[in-house]
This record gives sequence, C-alpha cells and structure tokens, in this order.
Amino acid sequence: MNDPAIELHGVAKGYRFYHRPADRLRELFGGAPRHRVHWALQELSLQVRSGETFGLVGENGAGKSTLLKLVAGTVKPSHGRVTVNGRVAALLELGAGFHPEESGRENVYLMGALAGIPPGRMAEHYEAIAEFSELPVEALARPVKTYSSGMFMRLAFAVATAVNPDILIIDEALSVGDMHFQKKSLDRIMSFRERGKTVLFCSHNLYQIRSLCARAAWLHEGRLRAIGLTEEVVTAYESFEREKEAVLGKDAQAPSVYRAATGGGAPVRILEVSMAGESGAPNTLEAATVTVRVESRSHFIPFHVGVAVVRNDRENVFGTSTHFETDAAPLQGSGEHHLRLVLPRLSLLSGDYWLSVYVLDDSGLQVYDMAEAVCPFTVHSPGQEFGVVYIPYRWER
Amino acid sequence: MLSVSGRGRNLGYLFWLWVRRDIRGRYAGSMVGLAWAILAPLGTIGVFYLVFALVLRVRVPQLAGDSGFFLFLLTGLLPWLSISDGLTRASGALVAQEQFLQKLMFPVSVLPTAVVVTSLVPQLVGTVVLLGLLAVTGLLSLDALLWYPVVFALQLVLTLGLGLALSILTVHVRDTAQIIPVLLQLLFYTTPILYPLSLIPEQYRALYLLNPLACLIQVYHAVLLGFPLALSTLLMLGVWTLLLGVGGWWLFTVLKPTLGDYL
Repeated sequence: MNDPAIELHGVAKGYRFYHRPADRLRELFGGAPRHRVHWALQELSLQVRSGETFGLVGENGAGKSTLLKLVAGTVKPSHGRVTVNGRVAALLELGAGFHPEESGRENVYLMGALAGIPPGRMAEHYEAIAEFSELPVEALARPVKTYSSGMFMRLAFAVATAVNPDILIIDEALSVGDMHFQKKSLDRIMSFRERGKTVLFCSHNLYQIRSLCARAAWLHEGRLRAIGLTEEVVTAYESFEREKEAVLGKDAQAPSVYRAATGGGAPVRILEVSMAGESGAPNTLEAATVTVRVESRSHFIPFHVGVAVVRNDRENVFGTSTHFETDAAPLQGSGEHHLRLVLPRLSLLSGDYWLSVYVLDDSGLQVYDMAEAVCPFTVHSPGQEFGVVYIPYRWER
Repeated sequence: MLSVSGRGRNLGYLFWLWVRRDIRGRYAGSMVGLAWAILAPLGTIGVFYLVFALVLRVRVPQLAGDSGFFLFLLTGLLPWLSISDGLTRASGALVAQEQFLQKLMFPVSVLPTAVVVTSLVPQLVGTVVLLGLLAVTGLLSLDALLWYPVVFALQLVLTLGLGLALSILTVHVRDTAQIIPVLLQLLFYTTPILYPLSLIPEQYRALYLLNPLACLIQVYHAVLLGFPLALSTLLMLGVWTLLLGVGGWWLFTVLKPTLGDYL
C-alpha cells in the first residue's frame, strides 16, 4: 500500500512521422531531421496507488491507449519515467496473440506460457481457464478460426485474466460475450479489486468507470486535464463532452453573480441574478436559492419573472415563472424588486448549469427583458446516482 | 484462480510453442501438411539435378559421374535451402506480428529465432538421407560425423544473427523484405553449390571469401565429402560467423527498445 503501483513522471510520448519512407532512411544515415513529431502524450505525471481501481477517460485520440501501452510496456516513453511495481496483465485487445489455425487448447498454452506459467503447471491452469470459458471440450480441440466471435472472446478473456497479476490493465474489454458471460467477466474484475489488486481501466462507458473506479483521470489532447475522485472527473468530462456538442461555450470569465449592464429601454429590466446553496456552491438535495433583482420604471406596468435552469448543452432542465402559480397576481410598482426562488431540495445531480431569467408582461407572452445562460454554477452530488435529476426513490425487495 | 510465482517468462517453453505454431501456420490447410517440409526441397533438388547434372553435365573432379554430382549438390543445397528459407521468413517475422506486438509484452527475439529453427527441419531430415547415401557409396568417414555438428553450430550462429538483424531491419526499413530474395539469388550463384569452385578461374576464387555462405558451404564440402579446404576459407568462416552472429544480435538489441514505435 505504500509504493504506488503505477507511477508516471513527466512522461511524454512522441511518434515520428515521415513524409516519405525514404526520408527515414536519409535521417538514419545522418541526414537532417525530416520527420515531424506527433505528441501522443505530454507532461504527464500521475500515480495509481496499489490496490486502487483507477479509471481513464477521454476522447478518441486523447492518448489513453498510448498511456496503457506505456504501462503495459509495449512502448517506451520518449521522455520521463514510467515505473510499474508488480506483474502486469494487459487486456489491450482480447485475443491478441491467438493464432486462427491453432486449437483453443494450443492457444491457451501459448498465451499461458507468455503470462509466465511454467510448463509443469500448465495443465492445472488450463483446466481452470477451460472451465471459466465454458467452452465444451470438443470446441477447445478445434482451431479457433471455427469459433463464433463470442466463443473466441470468452476464451480470450478467460486466458487473459487467468494468471494472477498484481496490476490489471483493461481497455474496453468488458463487453464480452452474452449477458451471462459479461456478468461473469465483470465479477472477475471485481474479485481482482476485492483482493487488493490494482486495476487500470479505460472505457468510454462512463457508467462502468463510475461504478468501478474510486479515482480517475481525464486525458485531453495528450495532457492530463483532470485527476481526482471519479465523480468529479467524470462529471467534468461529461460536461465538456456536452459543450463540445456545440452549444454554449462556457465562458470561463462568467461571474457567478450576473449583473446587467446599465441602460436599455426595457420598462422592466433585470439588474442582478445569483444562485447560492446552503453553504456556497449548491449540492444535490440541499436547499438552494435563486435571487433575482429587477427594476421597474413605471408604477403601472404589471410583470412576471421566469427562471429556468439550463444545462450547458442548452437543454432546459427546469423552468418556472411567477405566473405559473395559481391565482398569481403580477408584480407591479416602480423601483427595485427582490425575488427569491427557493428550491428546498435541489434535485439536480452533478453537472454544470446556467440560469436563464426572463421578465414577462402580465400575459406571460411578451418578453420585456431577459438574461439567458448567465450565472454558471456547478452542482456536486454526494451520492452515486447518475443522470440529470435526482428522482426520489426507494428500493423494495 | 491460480497464481504464478516468479517473473520468469519461460523463454524456452515459449520458444517451442512458437515453433509449433510456426509449423502449424505454414502447412495448415494443405493436403499433405508437414510432408511439404520435405517435398518442396526435394522438388528443388530434383530440378537442379536434372538441369545441371543431366542436361548441362556439370562434373565434380573429386567425385565420379552423375551420382557424384548428386552427392555434391545435396551437401551444398541442403544447408542453403534451410538458410535462405530461414532468412527470408525471418525478415518478415516481426512485421507479420505487428498487430499483437503492440498489444502484448512478448519476448520479441523468439519470433525470428523460431522461424530460423523451423527452417532447419528439412535440412536435418535431408542430412540423414545424405549420410545414408555416403555410407552406401563408402564415402562416409568418422571425421564427417564428428565435424558435421560443429559446422552445423556455426551455421546456426550465423543464420540466427542474420535472421535477428533482418527481422528488426525490416521493421525500420520495410524495403528490406523486398531486397532479401534478390540478395539471396546473388549469394546463391556466387556459392559453389551447383558447380565446384574448381570450375572458377583461379584469380576469382579469393572473391568467394567475401560471401559468408560460400565459406560455409565449402566447409560442408570439406567435412562431408573430404574436399580440400583452404585455411583462408576456414578463417573467413570464423570471422563471418563472429561478425554476423554477434553483430546481428547486437543490432537487434540496440533497435529492440524502439520497436513499438515503428510497427
């Protein structure tokens, strides 16, 4: 528990690309550099503690696979240091190293030898692998090229995880075979965790990352964008993914309290919008309050105020207005009005949100003034439920 | 689940499993399978015998008649076929496995060496036949049996070094795989296999020292058939074996760490 299982220190990995193959030859014989370097990873430092299940998220091409290869040892870093303490088993690609003409049994023997099983103990290992794969004896004697893809994957998973490693590296390998076998393979990975093994897990399935990993890292364009508790990292990543879908560029400078510019010809205008939880940032299931200050220029203009919570992909999560209340009289009177929208139990789950505030006429149709997508705030959820909103529930069994 | 003690990769065990895989992969699906390991060289030998002994009537001064040429041909061609087959396939051994070398930690040296070793099978079978023929014709000496393993060991060191070097060179310079067959053709005709060196004018014979395989085959001729052997040829074989065997291994070790980047 003291030494980190995996430690990367200032790691960079560059791949050289040559315009033409001959350029590589010229360079080899002392010519001027003719390559350009693509940096798959840069300035990467992170530690995975021993016994930890660590998740890795990021877009395609963010450097996740390169990182896994570095830890598995199939490629060497261009700069920096990669330290791995313990035996590594890598599931980078299930069935890598299988030969289609060989029987299931022969493939298992070769992969087993590769994993370090000595000849004398191969037979007992083989039995365990065959049993886990649930392939009939008849099938194991056939060349694997005759297998269905499900059978192939089952055998590949069984052999890859049969030898007891200290560190297990998994790249998108959990969806193997039918539902029954998926459960079984997930169980095996869980049992690795329970026995205090280190698991480095990379997946696009954020649900699996959330449920398996205590900590996670988010790689973006070869660099570490975030590292920490899974919920925070994954939430930040999801939020980024949504923004990329094009919509609201999150203005890093946007203040948490919105103040309108002075002037404007609206008869009733928004002055200020703010959002607060019980103790600063709002948390799921705690009270939160939206405060809106508006100013009316006339004593005689009735108006309503609407507030919407908007997710960062511009999706309205929830909206309400003063005229939605039964028998609600419009607001009226010149000067400043303070309104508070009290949310006694905030149902939003983790994520980044904005507020949109509208000032409407007494019919609720005409908009006097509006402030859309202002006042960004981040909700932190203490629980493990996922999605957009918290829906009260209970399990009955 | 079972645990494995130690970090040993059981290199030897893995090697033999890979040899089996290589053989299996080569002959899979063909009707007579493994028999091709013998049939194919047999065909080559037959063609050369037909053309050079029966049509062109090449004669070897030390040995009488067609059968004498046949023994001469066999002595040189058996090791040659296994060497050229081994080197050709070794040059593609790593590139062919690039998919999984990126995904698995594999003792890379196993791949070219296993290929070189499987290529020895026809030679070994053929040599047993050759020794039988020599015994029947009364040409077999105790010295031949004694020295054959030594020359064979030299051949092994030479081809393993070259095979390792070629396999990793091909990863860096893909053209290597295309050059090898052409180069082997050149080496083949500048090696006294189809003709005895005595047919070559005296002043050119020194050039044969520049061909490591010519040196090797001449030593085979001397050991099995009792041909005269120049000391220079023997010395050059030693130099070549050291140079290519150790040099090839060195090149492989130097280039191996960057392997993952170039596959």
